[in-house]
Amino acid sequence: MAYDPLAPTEQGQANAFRGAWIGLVTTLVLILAYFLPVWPWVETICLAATALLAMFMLTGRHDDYFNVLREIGMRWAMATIGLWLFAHAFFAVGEIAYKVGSFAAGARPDIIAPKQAAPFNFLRDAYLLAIVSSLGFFAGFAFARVRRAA
Amino acid sequence: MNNRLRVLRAERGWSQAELGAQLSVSRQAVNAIETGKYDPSLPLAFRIGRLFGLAIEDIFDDGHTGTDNG
Repeated sequence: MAYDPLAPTEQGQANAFRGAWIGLVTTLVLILAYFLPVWPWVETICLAATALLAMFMLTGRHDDYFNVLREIGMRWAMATIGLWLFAHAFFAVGEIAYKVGSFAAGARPDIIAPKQAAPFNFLRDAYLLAIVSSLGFFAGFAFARVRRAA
Repeated sequence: MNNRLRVLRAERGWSQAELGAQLSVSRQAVNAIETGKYDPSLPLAFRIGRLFGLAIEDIFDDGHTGTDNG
């Protein structure tokens, strides 16, 4: 095998796997912090750590096994985004159907109140989507690490 | 896919980290191959074969006997 002066060491590659577990923990903390009040500095540190780890996992040089796990993690993240958008579409269709139904029943269009917009407004929250999809990525990576990967 | 990697490594007295360093992969990758969680890519399988001086089929066994075209 040709000498590669920039090739990552075994220790460096092993640390990348540890980074994935840390990313899972920091993402869980971020989701917890979203719903519960925690110290702001904890959230800031976890936010920075998650961002750096996500970038590192996507751009760093890793071995084949890591790349397989990363691919599975990315599939999980995409599935998370897909489910999120599907849920959004589902409630949007429900809202439209409600308005159409109200109109068909004889209600005046200008007085039809939104059915239930407020409870599902969180689906428009980009930050929440970002940390949930990040959780999908790290959870998929961890799941594949524990189970058979390929 | 079954493999003899753990046995071959033990015969040489290498740790998983030492074998990983020689193959330019992580200790976790070696462990995943040994435990059957991960089947290595073809380039990595060739590197493993070259390191131990064996053919790939002498290390990895897919449980298939005979030829596919026969």
